Amino acid sequence: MGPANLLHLYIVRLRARAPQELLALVGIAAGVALLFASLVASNSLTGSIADLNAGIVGRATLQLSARGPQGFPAAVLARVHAIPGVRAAAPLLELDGQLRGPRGTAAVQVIGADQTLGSLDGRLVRRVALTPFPGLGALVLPAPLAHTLGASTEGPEMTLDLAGRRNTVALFSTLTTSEIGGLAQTPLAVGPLECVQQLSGLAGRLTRILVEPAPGAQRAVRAALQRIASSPRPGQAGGVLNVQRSDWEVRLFAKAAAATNQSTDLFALLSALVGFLFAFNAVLLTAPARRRLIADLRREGYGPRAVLAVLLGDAVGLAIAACAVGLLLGDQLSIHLFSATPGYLSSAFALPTERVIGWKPPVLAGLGGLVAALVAVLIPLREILSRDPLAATAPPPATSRASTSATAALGLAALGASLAILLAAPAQAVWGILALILALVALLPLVLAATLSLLRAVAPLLLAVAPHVAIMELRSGRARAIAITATCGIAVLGASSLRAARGDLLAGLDNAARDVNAITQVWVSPPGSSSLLLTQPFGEPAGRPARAIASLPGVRVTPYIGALLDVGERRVWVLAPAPTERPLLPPSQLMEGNVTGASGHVSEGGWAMISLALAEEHHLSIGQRFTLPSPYPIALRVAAIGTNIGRAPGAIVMNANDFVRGWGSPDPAALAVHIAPPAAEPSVVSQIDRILSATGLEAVSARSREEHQRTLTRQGLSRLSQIATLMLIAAALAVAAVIGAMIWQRRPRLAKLKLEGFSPALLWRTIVLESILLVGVGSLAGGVLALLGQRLLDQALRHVVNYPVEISLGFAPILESLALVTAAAVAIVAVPGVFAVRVPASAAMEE
Amino acid sequence: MLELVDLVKHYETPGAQPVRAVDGVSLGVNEGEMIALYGPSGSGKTTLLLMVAALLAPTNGRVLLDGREISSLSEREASHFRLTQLGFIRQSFDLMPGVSAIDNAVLKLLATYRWREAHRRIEPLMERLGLAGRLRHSSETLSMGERQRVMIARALSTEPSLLLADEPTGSLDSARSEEVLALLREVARERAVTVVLVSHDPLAASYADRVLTLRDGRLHLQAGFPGGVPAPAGPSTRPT
Repeated sequence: MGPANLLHLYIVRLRARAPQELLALVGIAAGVALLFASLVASNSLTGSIADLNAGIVGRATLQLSARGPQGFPAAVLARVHAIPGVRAAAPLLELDGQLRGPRGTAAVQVIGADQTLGSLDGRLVRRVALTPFPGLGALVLPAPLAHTLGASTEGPEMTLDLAGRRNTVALFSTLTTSEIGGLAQTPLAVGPLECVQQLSGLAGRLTRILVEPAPGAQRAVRAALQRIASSPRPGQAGGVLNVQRSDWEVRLFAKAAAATNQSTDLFALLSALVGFLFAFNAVLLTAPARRRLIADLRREGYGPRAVLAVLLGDAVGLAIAACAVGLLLGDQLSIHLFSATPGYLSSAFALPTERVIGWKPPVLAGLGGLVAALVAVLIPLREILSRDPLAATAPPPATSRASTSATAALGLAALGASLAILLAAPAQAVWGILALILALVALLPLVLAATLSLLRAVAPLLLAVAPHVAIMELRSGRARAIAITATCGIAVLGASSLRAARGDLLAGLDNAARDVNAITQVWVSPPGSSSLLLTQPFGEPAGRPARAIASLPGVRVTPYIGALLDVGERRVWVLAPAPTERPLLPPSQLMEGNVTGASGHVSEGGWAMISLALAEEHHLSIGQRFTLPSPYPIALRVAAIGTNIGRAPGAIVMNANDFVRGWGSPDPAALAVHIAPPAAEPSVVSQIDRILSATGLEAVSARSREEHQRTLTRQGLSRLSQIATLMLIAAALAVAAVIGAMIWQRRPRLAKLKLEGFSPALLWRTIVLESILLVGVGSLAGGVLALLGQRLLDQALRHVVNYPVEISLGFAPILESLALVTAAAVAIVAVPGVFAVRVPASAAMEE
Repeated sequence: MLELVDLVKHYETPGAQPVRAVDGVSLGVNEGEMIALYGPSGSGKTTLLLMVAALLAPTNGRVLLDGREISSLSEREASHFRLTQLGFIRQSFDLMPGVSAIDNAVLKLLATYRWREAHRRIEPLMERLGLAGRLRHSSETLSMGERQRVMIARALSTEPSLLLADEPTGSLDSARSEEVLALLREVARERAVTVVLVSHDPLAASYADRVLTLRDGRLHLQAGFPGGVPAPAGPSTRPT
């Protein structure tokens, strides 16, 4: 049969199965949409950073970068220029800042560069005039950002807080989407190098030099850069430098975003699974009709290949329609729901909000949809390929004791495998969850059979007829009953595990935020994205307000130092409180080591707490010595091993004195303001606000900062909760729709029962009881296994990503999910049930 | 010509004697001849038809059509035989639900022709079967008689040399039954098609050239019916 005939046959048969086809389409589309949206979200994060980096570095392939935020002397540039084989070298000074315009405020990455950057032909700076502007203090902004700030080239000036300084700047020009594409969505400000140096008080300093070697000179240039980087000239502030490939930022970002991407992908995979099960259930409803078609075609003389082609046509037709709808839906999801950027990433990288789709998300999501449609449509494969043309008309073989035992053994083995993964290989949590799903699906027939047996034993004690009829109906439609319970079970297992693990993660992150902020009542720091982690140092003249604050009655000020440091491929968070601060180490974040002992060690100097992932990567244990790759490398010993304190790449806590040795600068990133009675926090804060009014610093109470961190954490994890909620909704709708359709199809049988004298009310009660049984058994089994699923995800987050996870037993989310799926499904089923039982008894005679 | 030679079909049943559904049937049916096969439920009528249609392998014996052994065809050859040489009229429930009469009727033709050409070819036959005004109607909206005629159209669409009909009048009133039986006889004569008709309907006997009964898997010549005579050539019925 040719393709045109296959298509014709598909279309003419579609009308009879339109409702089921529509249900299957919705299920597959839901799965495709979730997969697509989460893949786009992951792709956009790394893709847009790659775009931004390429837009800046252009043809440069190497870079020399500072290890500390204060950068290195611009004189290094001359040494780079002197290297034979260097075709171009562009100096950069990059800092976090905050821009305030008439209409709004935005955290921005400020890039200072000269015209040599343009010669590298990066898309972002190709059209920017980087010769010093006529007046100092003018910046080029992406047009959307300028619009958000309310800035215009003719309009009022803006305020730029940079490295503790407050500056007034003008908008020189804007970069539009037509000029720089998606990069226009990046929160950055570009200015001439001299201008940015002056605005930040870092005159004569650079943070990066981009290098374009001549063809064939890459290796020699790199070696020469390495010599410059590792041998700072005497008195050269900035210490040792890093030599890296110019796409280093992209690699670092990929590592940092891995946690978010992995968890999103896991969540999306589970959700897609529910969507596909939905489709499977819907197509299962058409299985009898499909079997009839197979038998019909075989009897009329079509061979297995022709029959297979007809059914493949069904699958492809379904997949094309479902994928089209799913991709459209996923596109909207990725724009409206999955666009949130995790806060911990935006504090270390300038994140464009550009959506990068690429070829992978649509292809992978589409393939997922196609596979789901194929699996669903080709359920009667055995009959299709059978040598016996009448196989499709044969009744399904009864389940033998041997096959039941084998299925149960498979379920128990899968359960054992997920337990083994939990105990021995928490990094393999995804496999653990999949093993758990397999265990659920394999054990559900037994659970359902046991429930029905129990009900049958209890039923005689009840006067009601409904349980008897419900048991009979469920026993006769075993495959469908198992499919529905499996859908409920997987949905509750997935959604509950995800929601409970998310709750544990949030609790752990909240603890981290509380501990980090516990050392003081008020923080004074430069505003902007760096204020989340306190990693942007400021010195004189911003140091002057510190003295004014310290002179307030009842107020004590200690410097607080922090920085981001590249350790291997991790941009880790370095926290360096003064040795006298208490708690010096965040107590709830220690995983190995004793808080008192470790705090004592860190306080006396030469010791640090490092996060588990770093310790494992560098094979370090407590007491061992390691060299920190800071601008002036220092040797430290491991006092304790902890969580990443909420920052995926990792964290190191040391005392401020060690930091000064390692970074060669005492400039604080924040001031910790301690208030002693009788001074009261509100009045002190208002006095500090007055002192800071003309500076580029801001005062934030520890409670506010903690709250801000909590908000950012929740916003960063919002995608996970959205997926968990969508999954629950999809599951409830899936189950309701499939049971509803099943009930509708059963009208002839209901008519027969009416013929036997059963009343519509009794039949309705039977239908609702069946639904409660199916949904309840599935949800309950899923809920029980969700406890293990939650622990698997907790362990993965704790040991793989090293997040601070507060492990708990998530009864509340499980009960919520269970109640929601059961109630929603039963409530929705009750409606078609009312209409289905109205079928006239005479319909039984027409069959 | 259709020949059944000592055809046997036994079904094994665990812990019991095999069921002898068809037990040594020999029969010859000429081109253009229509025979009616009677028998109570469970007598082996449908089993016999399935073996003739190469849908079921006999335990013993042979089925030959124009000298070619059907019973030993490979799966692929058997499919081709059904598609090109056989027309099988079954209960009208086999129509595809929600699909129009003409699309149901052209199912076999789609193996050879594009659907437009298949429609063009089947239309005269459907008109002749009295379905001209019902071509685009969905199978559910057709009467039982119309559905049965759609099945006949499908069976005749490939101009087969052998036509098997399993209870073709089972769901029809007597007027419609007569219509269908007359049509089958007409087709048998006009196109020299061999027709084997299995029925409970006494009316069928009056249209058949020969009437046979099958009881406990064995074939008997039915006396008293018009045309109840052995075939003029080939292995004759073997009354037992």
